[in-house]
Amino acid sequence: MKIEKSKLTERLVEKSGLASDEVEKHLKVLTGQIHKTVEKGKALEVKGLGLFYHSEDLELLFEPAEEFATEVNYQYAGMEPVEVETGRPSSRSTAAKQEPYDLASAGVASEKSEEKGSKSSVKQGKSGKSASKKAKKAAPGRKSAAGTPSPSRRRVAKSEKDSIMNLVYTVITIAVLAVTLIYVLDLNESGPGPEPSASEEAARPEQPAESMPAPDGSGESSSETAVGASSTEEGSDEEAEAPSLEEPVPLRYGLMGETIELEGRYYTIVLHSMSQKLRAEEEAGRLRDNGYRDVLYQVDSEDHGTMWRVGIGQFETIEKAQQAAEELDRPFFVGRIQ
Amino acid sequence: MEKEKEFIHALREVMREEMIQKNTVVIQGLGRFENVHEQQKQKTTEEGKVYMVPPRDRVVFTPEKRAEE
Repeated sequence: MKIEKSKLTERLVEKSGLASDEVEKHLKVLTGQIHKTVEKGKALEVKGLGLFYHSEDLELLFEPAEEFATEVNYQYAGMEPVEVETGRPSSRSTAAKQEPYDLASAGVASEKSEEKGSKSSVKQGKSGKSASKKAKKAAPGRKSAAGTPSPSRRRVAKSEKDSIMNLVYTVITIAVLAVTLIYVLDLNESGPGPEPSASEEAARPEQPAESMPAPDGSGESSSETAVGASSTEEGSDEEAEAPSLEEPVPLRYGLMGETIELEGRYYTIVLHSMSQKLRAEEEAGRLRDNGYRDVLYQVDSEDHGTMWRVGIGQFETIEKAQQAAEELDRPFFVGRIQ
Repeated sequence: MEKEKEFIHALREVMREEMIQKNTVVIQGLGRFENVHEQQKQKTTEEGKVYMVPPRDRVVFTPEKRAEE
């Protein structure tokens, strides 16, 4: 909305108690004085409002007084730039870090693989750093000549593949064992029901205990304990039902709901920065009543003293906070807590 | 003199109140005063540190010649 001459005069009359024509006269005098002063190459300060002056190309400029600028910027006054955490190693940076390691290990591998290779390759593999440096230089040539990765690289890749395969087998074995155990436990639970039939049935739970291999050599006793615990009705019920009895855990991060005491760093969408704690608390309460997680925290600013910031939501990363904030359709700032 | 002071005080108060409400104040013969909102932005220092610069509401003055354009 534009406040032009008539509206401005009306508001000034209301504020100053002066007559309308007096206000108009004062406005005229003020603008005349400003132009007169700046045309002389000087600056004119209107107390509490700011400084008027000319630029080099004689354009009228205005610099608001600090207090006036702060009052207009009251919502964000006292906010300081926040350092964004960039320390987390990404998978890309990890890969980049591993690259020299691969080359070095390729050098080591070349010592073994070059036994079959050419003489020059054996020379490369002879000693430590210089050899690996040479290997680095030689590697691209070999690759382009053969059109395939060097043998040393293949070997590294193969050993990586082997270790992955081993891991996969281990995981599958554990999964099969776990499924067997669950199956046996289920049988055991339904077993002591109305038909405690034969001794075969009763003996069934012990079978898996025996059949459970002990990969680490201690499995036998531990698997017995597990089966034994499940064979006692009370124990098995408690253990089996424990997960379903758990209360739904409130989400650690989010925009709505109850504010959670979080240890460590998190981010919030700051909507207000206020110098009065009481006002900030009122605002936080209003937001809480509207279903938001309210976050109230104190910031000491050199320029503005103690400020109270009111935020909504608790977010793990600044990006998630920004994403949520953009949907709010109002000015915001993402603040970091702790 | 006293009236002049009262006037300047009133002018400052009216401008502050109007600009907080995002209204543009136009003073004939001088120019217009606006409250311009600047979004928060990321800045990277030479050392590679990334900072989130807070948003702000800034007083922007446009002299009358430009305001008329």
